[in-house]
Amino acid sequence: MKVVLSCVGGSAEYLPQGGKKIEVRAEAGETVEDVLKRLSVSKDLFMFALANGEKVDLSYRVREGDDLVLVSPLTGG
Amino acid sequence: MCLLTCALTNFGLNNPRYGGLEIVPHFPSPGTYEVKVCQRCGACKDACPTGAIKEQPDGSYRVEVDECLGCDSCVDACPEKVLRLIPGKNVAFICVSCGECVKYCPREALVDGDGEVKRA
Amino acid sequence: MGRILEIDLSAKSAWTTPTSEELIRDFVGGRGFVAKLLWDLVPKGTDPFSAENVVVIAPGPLSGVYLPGSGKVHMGAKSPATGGYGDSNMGGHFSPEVKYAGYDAITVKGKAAKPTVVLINDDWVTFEDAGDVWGKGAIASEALLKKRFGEDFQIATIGPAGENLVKFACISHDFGRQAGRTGVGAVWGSKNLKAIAVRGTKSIPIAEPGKAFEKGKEMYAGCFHKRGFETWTPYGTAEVVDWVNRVGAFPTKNFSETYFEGHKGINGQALKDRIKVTDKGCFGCPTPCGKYSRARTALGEVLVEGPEYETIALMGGNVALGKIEEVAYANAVADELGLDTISGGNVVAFAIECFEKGLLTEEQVGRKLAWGDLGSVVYLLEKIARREGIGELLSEGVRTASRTIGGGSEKFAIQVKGLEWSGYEARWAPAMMVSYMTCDVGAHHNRSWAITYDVAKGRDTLEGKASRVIELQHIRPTFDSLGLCRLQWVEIGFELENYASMFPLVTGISFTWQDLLRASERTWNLTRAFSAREVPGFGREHDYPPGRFMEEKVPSGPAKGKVIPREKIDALLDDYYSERRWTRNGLPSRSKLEELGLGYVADELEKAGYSV
Repeated sequence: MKVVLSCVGGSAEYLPQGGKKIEVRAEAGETVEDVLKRLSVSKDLFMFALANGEKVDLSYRVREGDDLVLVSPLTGG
Repeated sequence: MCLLTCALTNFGLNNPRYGGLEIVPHFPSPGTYEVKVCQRCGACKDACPTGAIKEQPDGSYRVEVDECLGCDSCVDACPEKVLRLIPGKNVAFICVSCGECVKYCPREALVDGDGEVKRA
Repeated sequence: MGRILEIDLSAKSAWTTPTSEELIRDFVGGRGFVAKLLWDLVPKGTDPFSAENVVVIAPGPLSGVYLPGSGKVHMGAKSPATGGYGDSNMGGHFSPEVKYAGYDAITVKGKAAKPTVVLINDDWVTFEDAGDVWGKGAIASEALLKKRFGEDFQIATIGPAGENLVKFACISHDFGRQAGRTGVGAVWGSKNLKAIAVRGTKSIPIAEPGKAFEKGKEMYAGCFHKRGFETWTPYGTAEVVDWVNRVGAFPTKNFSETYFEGHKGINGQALKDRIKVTDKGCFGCPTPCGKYSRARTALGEVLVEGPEYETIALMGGNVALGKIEEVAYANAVADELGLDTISGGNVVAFAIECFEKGLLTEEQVGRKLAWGDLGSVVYLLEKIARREGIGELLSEGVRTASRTIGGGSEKFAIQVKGLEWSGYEARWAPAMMVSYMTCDVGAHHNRSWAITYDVAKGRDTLEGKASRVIELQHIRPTFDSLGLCRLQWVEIGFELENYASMFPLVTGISFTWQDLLRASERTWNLTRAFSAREVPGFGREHDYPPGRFMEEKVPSGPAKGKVIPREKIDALLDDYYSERRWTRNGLPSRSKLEELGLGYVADELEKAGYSV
């Protein structure tokens, strides 16, 4: 299945696509963490995600067409 | 930002004290802010000694610049404390309902006359 | 351009001079002005508590102007904590008011004969008696002074801690904002300066007002439409607590551990669900980070702005308090006393560890101390603020306290240069370790927040880390010089280019972002040089982290087993100095200083006995 992935905050610069939305492939039952692993992106770059606007943690199981926004850690100071 | 948006839009003055709204902070307790805007109550018109303040067809009040003495009577009379005396011109300013404050409040805390928020 | 206001508390005089364009071109404003004015005005070797120390307060060229985050002010002095360059920054509404009164900077020297409030009302500066507020808490004093002078005055005040010269006393403003670090509050106290009240009725002169207003509106609209805009405000800085624990960087029990079991009781969700009253922001902010809270504990109920992440780290995990209400209570106590919550939490944790190890006795302390005990925390904060009993020693900060206490406690005095370490433990984050080691004021995180760089590039590698830290050390303080908050860039990704294009419209000076970074690098080298001039034998030896971080492996949690031994620390420092073109001992080289137009600084350093 396909999901839409993007990122907000400071960690965007460590993703090849930056903050832009991209479409990625996902297998049934995969979590956000699994998707990141397959993209070789460390899950520790993100605090949590928004799935279709709702706050979820990275163990959320993705569904077809989900709009996932990865939220970077607040870097304060 | 509502205050500074108003002051810059209406007079080009970069100082929020000239904006036609009043923010009243309540700190340390209970920790809230009140925002007051013109309620079109007409107290300013009643207080004006020269009749320089006139009611408009839409219910708002406007100052005839040439007739204003800069006497502060309307400023003192306003129950919301939102009237301002503009420095340099020494003329009173009453909210003209331009709606810019509504557009730029980041919290959508202000609504326009129709009870709506049109964000920038 | 405005004017620089110079106040002499001894002579009770105030003078202004126009701000020179050269000063703006070389140092921009805010932090840059603090650095340059301290270099010029503080005589070499001045005791930080003497009348000759100078307090500099500087908004930036973009403060009070119509663009996001334009409410920040920078304050500095020779630091009583470190003996070197000290500064701190705060938000609220003070910065714009200083600009509306027509000033780009305020310097305060001398010492008032008795407790004083300096009242600045546009062009009129008067020296008011502070007798009725001296001794009162910082929050209470602000309320009283607003009543006395008027709601439209912006007040910055110290609390009892500053009056008593506690080395980590802070300056407070807007019922919960502070310029917290390096003991600036104590410098005010040493001058009998209780508060500064400002009111300004002027408009800020803007080079191209129409274009600047349009650009400002565009910037606000830009923020409103950023994808992070809705998500980050409700949570505030507390939201990062869970993540910092997950990556094993959360200060726990005086930085002995790096994961706190109780973190879910003190995270953003706990704050939002259990104690938050409202979001609270600064002048010009579209994304208010502040959280005003009401918290009930066994010791009583408080209203407080906070707790922010740093306070949750240092007064939560670091002292093992697992309830957000208790952290908020400790926060409120510190705020009223006028104590920096970062140093405060660090010092209290140090004392608890000393007690646990038998290096401090119940008799010396006056009671038993324990981890996770709000009573211990509050007791120590109050003793420190009054410099009573054990508070006398602890008020000096952990570096000095550990030297007196001995028994190996210097290894777990978690500080660099005499400034206590803030909220990120770094034994598994080399870039963050370097950030803390090389931060100019001591162990503070704000110049370079680099943990995600470590995560992205490899937490065990050292390569490239120093480079990244240097880059951030120029970008982040640029905001401090512009007089702006960086959170719109940092948290919702608002582009740096916007700030660069605003600068010429406001000042008429056609700087690019690169020019601004250049000024930032110049300021960086100048503050390093100031510390070298004032602290004999300054250099590499002052950049090392505490022994705990080089010798003790993290005992548990996600970072278990991690430590950065001295050889690796040395390698990181060598990299850092070489890239900055500093000497192997960590002093800016003459060639670097001359390149930045600071040849006179090189002369001074050589006179002080350094080879550059």
